[in-house]
Amino acid sequence: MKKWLKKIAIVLVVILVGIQFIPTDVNHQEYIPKTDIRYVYDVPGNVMNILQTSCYDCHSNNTNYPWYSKVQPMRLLMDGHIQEGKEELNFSEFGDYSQRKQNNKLDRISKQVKADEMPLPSYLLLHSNAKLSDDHKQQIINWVETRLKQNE
Amino acid sequence: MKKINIKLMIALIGVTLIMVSCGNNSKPNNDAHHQVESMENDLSSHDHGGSTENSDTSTNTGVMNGDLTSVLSNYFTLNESLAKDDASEAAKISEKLVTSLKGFKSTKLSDDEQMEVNDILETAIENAEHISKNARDIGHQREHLISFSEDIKDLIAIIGTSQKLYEVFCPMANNNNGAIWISNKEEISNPYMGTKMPKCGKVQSVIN
Repeated sequence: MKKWLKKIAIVLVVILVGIQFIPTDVNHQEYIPKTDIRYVYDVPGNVMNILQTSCYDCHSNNTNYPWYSKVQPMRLLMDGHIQEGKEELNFSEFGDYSQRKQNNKLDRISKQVKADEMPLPSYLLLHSNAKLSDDHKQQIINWVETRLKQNE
Repeated sequence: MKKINIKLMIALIGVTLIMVSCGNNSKPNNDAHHQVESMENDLSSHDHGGSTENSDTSTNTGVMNGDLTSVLSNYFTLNESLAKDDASEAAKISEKLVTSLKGFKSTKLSDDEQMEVNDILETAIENAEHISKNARDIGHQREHLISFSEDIKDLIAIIGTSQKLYEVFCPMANNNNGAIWISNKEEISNPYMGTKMPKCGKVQSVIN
């Protein structure tokens, strides 16, 4: 019984060490590009703060990597989130979107936030400061509503 | 020997916990999307008759800038699926929609119109992809239908169609902000409300 367990344990250790060598993405951008949403629209400071704290890690070209991001399989999972997040919505490249796409994304932001689908619950587990209070959510929703009316 | 085993167990548990928590991205229950659940079935406040009395008529000169048959046919099937509350069928048909949208070719458009069509297609494809990936969340699918129907409407406006089509408005969809869908029949079959309120809607415009 013990020998069998020992063998499994060794295999697991080998796997755990092996996956540390999987190549990782690096989502870094030292400057804020002119296509960032804050340059496309006059986003109020309070809303911008919320977006940066709660959204930018997965939805921009610049992620703040925490300590555990250096360890696999956490890094793989994070990279997956970031890649998917940026595909869906990238605040750094918002200015490259057509007007239609911008409006669509703004509407999606408001709805996702309202329904607590975003930020991802798993992200909030380790980033409690990113959790959106009711007030934060309302600020985002209100801003989107105003913005969409202006865009008409 | 014992010390190593304990450390391994802790590492294993730690990894498992993290993988499990990060895997917990499945959509929460549908209640958040189903605003209708809390609404009374008050039929008196809006028109379920589907009348065409006050509708505008926009006529196409007959020139078409592409063949939307495949796209529209799939779109109508999508609406039918959602009207029947069949999310998995909606997802399947949306996959076909993505293909037909990607394969759509427009002809003889001005540069501006071409750009507009490209923008519409980009958004439409995204919407269709979302619907196809949410076979277990009809609320999410219906959310995307709102935007998708606008895309279809705008596409038809530029490309043109040989069919007689109806723009139907549902005042309760989209959290009571209202939403449209395009139908090839005058008879109302609401994709947003589904079997709960299949006849809710009013034709507000005829396209031909």
